Order: sequence, then C-alpha cells, then structure tokens
Amino acid sequence: MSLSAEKIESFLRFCVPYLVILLLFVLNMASLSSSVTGAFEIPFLLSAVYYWSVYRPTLIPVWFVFVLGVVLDLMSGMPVGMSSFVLIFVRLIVTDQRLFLASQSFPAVWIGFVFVCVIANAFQWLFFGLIEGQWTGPLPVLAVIGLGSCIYPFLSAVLYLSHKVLPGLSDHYGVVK
Amino acid sequence: MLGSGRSANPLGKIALFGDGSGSGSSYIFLFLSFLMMIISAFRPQVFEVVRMTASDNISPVLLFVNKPIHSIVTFVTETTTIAQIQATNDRLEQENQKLRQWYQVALMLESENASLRELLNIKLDPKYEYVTTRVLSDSGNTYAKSLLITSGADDGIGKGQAAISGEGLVGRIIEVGHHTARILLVTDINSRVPVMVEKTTQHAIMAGRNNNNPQLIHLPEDSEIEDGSRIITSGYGSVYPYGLPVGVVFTDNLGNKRVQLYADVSRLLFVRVVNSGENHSIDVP
Repeated sequence: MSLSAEKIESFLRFCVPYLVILLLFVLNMASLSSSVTGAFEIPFLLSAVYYWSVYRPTLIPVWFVFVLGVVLDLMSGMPVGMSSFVLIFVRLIVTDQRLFLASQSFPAVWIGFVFVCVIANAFQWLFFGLIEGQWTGPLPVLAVIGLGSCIYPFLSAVLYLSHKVLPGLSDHYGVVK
Repeated sequence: MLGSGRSANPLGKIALFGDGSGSGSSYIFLFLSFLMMIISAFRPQVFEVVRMTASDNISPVLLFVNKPIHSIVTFVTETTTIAQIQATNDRLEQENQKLRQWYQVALMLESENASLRELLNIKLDPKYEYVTTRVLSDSGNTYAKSLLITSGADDGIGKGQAAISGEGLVGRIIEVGHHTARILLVTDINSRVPVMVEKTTQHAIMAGRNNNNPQLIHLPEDSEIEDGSRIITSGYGSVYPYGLPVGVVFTDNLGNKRVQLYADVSRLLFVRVVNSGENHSIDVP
C-alpha cells in the first residue's frame, strides 16, 4: 500500500469515532415521552464522553467537549453552557481516575458510569430548581438515569467497535501494559 | 503506563489551550461554561441571536437525520399490533359518524350566528391567519419543553404567536430565526396561559409543570371546577387568541386541578402558528 493510501485509510479510520459521536449527539436531541414522566432524553453524549474519557481522552479534547455541549444547548433550548459544564466536569473527574477505571472489569466501569450519570443529573436538577424556584418531579430525572444506565452496555459496545478501528492502537483500550 | 493515544491523533496539533486534554484547560472551559450558564439562565435573550443562527444553519442537517428516527419511533409506537389498528379503525369510523352529524349542526349554527351578529352589529374578533409548519426537533428534554419548527421570520412567524395542533393549543413562539422558530410548550415550567372553563367562564392561569399535565393556578378558593370540564384560552393579555381549545380538567392525587391536554405534545409532526398580525414580544422569565 502506498503512503498516501495509508494516510487516507488512517484518516478515514480516525473519522469513525467522531461520526459515532455525531450520531449520538443527534440522538441526544430526540426525546422519549411517557404519561408518567413527560418528555426526557437518553444521555447518549454523556455515555460517549465517559467512554472516551476512560479509554482515550485525547480523542475528545476539552475544547471539543465544550463545543459539543454548547451546540447541544443551543439546539435543545437548555441554558447555554449547561451541557458543556456537565460534560467537561465529567471528563475532568473521569480522566483523573482513568488509570484505575481502565484496568477494571466492565461491570465496575459500568457502575462508574451510573455514578457519573447520577451526579450529572443531580446537578442539572439542582441548578434548574434553584433558577426556576420550582422543582421538577424526580420521575423524569430517574428515567434519564435508569434508561441511560441500562443502555450504556450497548452504547459501550458500539463505542468499543469504533475504538477498534482507530489507527495506531497497541491494544483495545489504548493502554500499553 | 499510558498508551500512544496522542501520537495517533492527527488533530492534536489544532488543539487550543495546549493539548486540550490537560486539567488546566479543563478548568478554564469549566469556568467559561459556568459563566455562560449563569448568563443564559438569567438573561436568555443574550444568546437568542446565536441560538437562532445555530438553529437556522443546523436545521437542514437535523431535519435530514431526524426523518428516519422519527419514522422508526412513529412506527414502533403507533403500529405495534394489527389488533390495535383494527380497534383504532373502528373507533375512528364511529367518531366519523358522530362528526358528520355535528358538521350539519355546525353549518346550521354558523349561518344562525352570522345572521344574529349582523342584527346586533357586533364587533368581531380579528380574523387570524395560520402558518402550518413541520416540527423539526422533539418536545424538549427533562427540563426545557420546547420544539423547533421549520418556519421563521421569512414565513411571517413572530414572537408571542400561539401554536396549535389539530387537537388543541401547543404553546407560543419565543425565539424566531429566518427559517426556524422555537415554541415554548404549554408543559414547560415557564409557561403561563390565561384560560377559562368553557361552561362556567371561570378564569385561571394554566401553569406548566414540566410533565404532560399543566396545573390550573390562581383559582378562587370557592371555585368548583368539575372534572371533565373543557378548558379554552381566555384571550386575556392578548397573547393567545380567545377560544383556542386546550384540554379537559381532572384532579390529581394531591387534589390539584390539572389539565389533560387535547394536543399530544410529545408526538407532533406539524403545528399551526396563529398569526394575528400583531407581534407580541414577551421575554421568557
């Protein structure tokens, strides 16, 4: 294979995770609804940020996470900066613990995500409650956390597949043992 | 030992603030986000232009990507079993029979009304124009109940105009771009709609509660609103035209009067924006 063909292949492989993130970004804007909870969303983008913060944080630089969050807020009608704040915060704490998390079994990483999901949603709930002076019922928040936690293993599998196609990896997790 | 993540990142060179992955830049962006969040929460109009410019530019992509997602959701939710379709069909046929009878009655009443108004020389409400438009994004999320539509200022949409579906009131326009606009749904916690009980003409404010059933507030203590009473807009404040159908009253477990909306705001494909020719600019609280 010639050098340019290799470069093109590398570039295309490198684009795959970003395309997955873009897809999750769009899915994040679609909402579900039930008669009990009202409309709520699945935290697709939070899952992606968590996954990459554990296994390859350099793929999602802080400025990239910031832009994703701001655009999400602009499109979804949320206060601008809310999603970027939550996503950057999650990235910050998870990256700090990534050596520990990356060496754990999947269930432990999953529990880590549930923990992060609870913190992120609790913050949003608290912020909105304080700003509006009225508190949103707990059911939609619990639905977001529950559904997000349940769907994480599937999303994790999709993200893992996109991770595998990345060029220049020494193993599945980007961690040299 | 950490892996070779950074060396495999061909975009690494364009990262701002160092390599963009350090905790230093994280704190800067965290602070920036927090600042924006506070400004946006207390002064939402600051970001209005940016928000609508983003909507105008991203909406074509969103429309394209949302189409298959919407189709799948609609398919799954609406056509789960053949028996359900059969039942729906039977129900619609019965409804149609009744509606035909009502249509004849309505025609008769319309002509009677017209002649009586002519006799009394009543000043009629202004005739409204409607802009029918497609819904671009879904009915918001846990905290913000709004939706984007694919019509904007270029199509005659203005701030404060009411939006209705085929069944009833949906919300009002709060932000307008050139080709898109945002509707604040009546279910949003910031939404307040002056309404009245059709039978008793009892006035109230319908307040969104971030769930599917807004609550009636500012009711007199001695008011007795029966469950099942029809709620319509009262026209007070001139934002919502008088007489738009809203929903029916029911009492929740805590004894609060709530409204079961006619419009299913979670499954809207098209809405009609009521253009009264006036532009009611209202700041979102």
